[in-house]
Amino acid sequence: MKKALFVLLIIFIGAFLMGGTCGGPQEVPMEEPPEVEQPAEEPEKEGQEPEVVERPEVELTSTDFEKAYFDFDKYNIRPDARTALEYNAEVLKRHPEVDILIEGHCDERGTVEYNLALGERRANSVKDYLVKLGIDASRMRTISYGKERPVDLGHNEVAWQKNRRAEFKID
Amino acid sequence: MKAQSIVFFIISLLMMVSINSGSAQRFEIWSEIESSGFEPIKLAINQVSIRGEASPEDSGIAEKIYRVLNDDLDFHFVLDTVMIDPFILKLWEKDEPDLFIWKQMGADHVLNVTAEFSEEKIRLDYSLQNLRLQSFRETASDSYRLDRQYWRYLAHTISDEVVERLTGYKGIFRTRLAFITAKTGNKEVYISDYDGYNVQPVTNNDSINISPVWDAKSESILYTSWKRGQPDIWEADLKDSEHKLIASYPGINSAPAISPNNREMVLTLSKDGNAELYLTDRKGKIKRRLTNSFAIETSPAFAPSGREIAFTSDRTGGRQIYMMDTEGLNVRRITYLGSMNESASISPDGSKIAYVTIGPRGSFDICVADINGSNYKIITDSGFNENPRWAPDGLHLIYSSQWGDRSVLYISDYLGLKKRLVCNQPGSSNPCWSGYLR
Repeated sequence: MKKALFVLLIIFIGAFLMGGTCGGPQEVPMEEPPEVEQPAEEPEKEGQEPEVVERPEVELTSTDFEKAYFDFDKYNIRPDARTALEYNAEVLKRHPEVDILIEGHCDERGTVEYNLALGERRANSVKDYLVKLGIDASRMRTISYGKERPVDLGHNEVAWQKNRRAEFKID
Repeated sequence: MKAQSIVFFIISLLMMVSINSGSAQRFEIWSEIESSGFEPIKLAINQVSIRGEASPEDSGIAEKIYRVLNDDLDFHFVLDTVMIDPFILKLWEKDEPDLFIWKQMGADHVLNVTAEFSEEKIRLDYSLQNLRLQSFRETASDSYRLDRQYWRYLAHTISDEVVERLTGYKGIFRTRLAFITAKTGNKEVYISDYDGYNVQPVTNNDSINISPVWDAKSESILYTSWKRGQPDIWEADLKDSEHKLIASYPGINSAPAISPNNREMVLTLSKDGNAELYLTDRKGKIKRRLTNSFAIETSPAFAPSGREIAFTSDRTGGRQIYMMDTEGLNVRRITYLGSMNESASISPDGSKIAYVTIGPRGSFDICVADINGSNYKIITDSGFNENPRWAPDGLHLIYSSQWGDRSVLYISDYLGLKKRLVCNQPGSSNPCWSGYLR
């Protein structure tokens, strides 16, 4: 009897190992999008300290602000986005009369509806970060365009990265 | 002795559980149809003959009607048209196939259509003959008359009749589509016949418009638009072309789903901080909040009971499809395979669900499964595919497909066997199929 029990135990352990992870859903591993270089937007400004220069009275436009970029399906602020937002915060501090609209955008993959919500998350994420940097929340509005307003109409990782962004517009 | 047999029992029970749980996760290719030996009904369609006088233009219309009948009936899931090679006709020494020839070619039924043209109107008579019955008995016939300009509609009427007589299913050939194209440079809402003809604009606001949805009576279209500077939900009444603002809360207003009794809607609103689902009345007044989580919840779809809703949520980190009731209770996850599943649409009889998955190809494919998620079949194999929506017969679907710069719309049966391109305007997307209009 003891021998039979022992054999059963071995079979049981074997079956358990073959059955794999019992009970949990198998995730089909998704390919990670390839590593993307920093987007080459206005290269002379990358990595430099924000210039603290006395500006003459000039109308601020949206081109005075840096864009923040995001990873696929994510809305957290990456290190390169942090730099961009710190720069933008400086600009906002020097122009306290200006209010901004933060736009959240996504790349073309996935549903229209989900990307609308993800774009909103990105815009809110940027706004929250700027609040942490000392900008008054009342100066900032957010809006999402989902995947409806790409800047790059390409269908590759370079284009998609350019589209996963938050943009600043004067409100 | 007793203790040992109890241990024996427990171990063998655990063994059975561990062996079975591995296979439950394997996806089952849909074999129900194939194993039951389903064969489409074979239909032969004779050239449309003309009774009385007809101008060359009229003859042209008769020819076009024949084309429409062929395109309609050959596309239908339950039917296949039988064609005959002119070479074979020569062998039989005939100019046109007769019933015996059609039977030789494998046809089960023959459709005969006769057109008669008058000043303003066109009349179509049709008859169906069953080649499986002795003497090839005529089993149905009828006659329709309309103004000439509606010749397409007349042809679709006959196609619907034929489908109903031969298969018992109601025909979809007089239903309509709603979708987005960017042919003007802006994303605007359009409607068309089920086959993409007779395109008519619904919006023309030079803004961004997305996600058109037919209401349950197919009398109006709800859509999301940035025409007032933020994403709001509007309703366009197709009878009087009035556009009404339905939802304009702060944040996102999008993705409406209409209940089958046309009395309730589920909207995606982010007014409370995060994209959540809300049950509203038909005018957009909120009855109850349905979801309340840190996750994004969107893309709601009603089940035909009107008491259950499928939706997308990323509460486990990736987008998956869930079901809940209209109280927001009994939430359960439907999709487990693949890293991303969204854009659910429930068939009109409630038995199946179509959705978008990242399949084995690693790209976005349309998947059709039983409502509980089993019997899973992927019906596309190239491009980025999105937005599957059922036709009212529960046999066919529409979806959008993108390759590079081309974004087009396809209709298909639910097994992906027969597909038909219905719209190739630039940026065609967000398709939706109407209900029956008669």
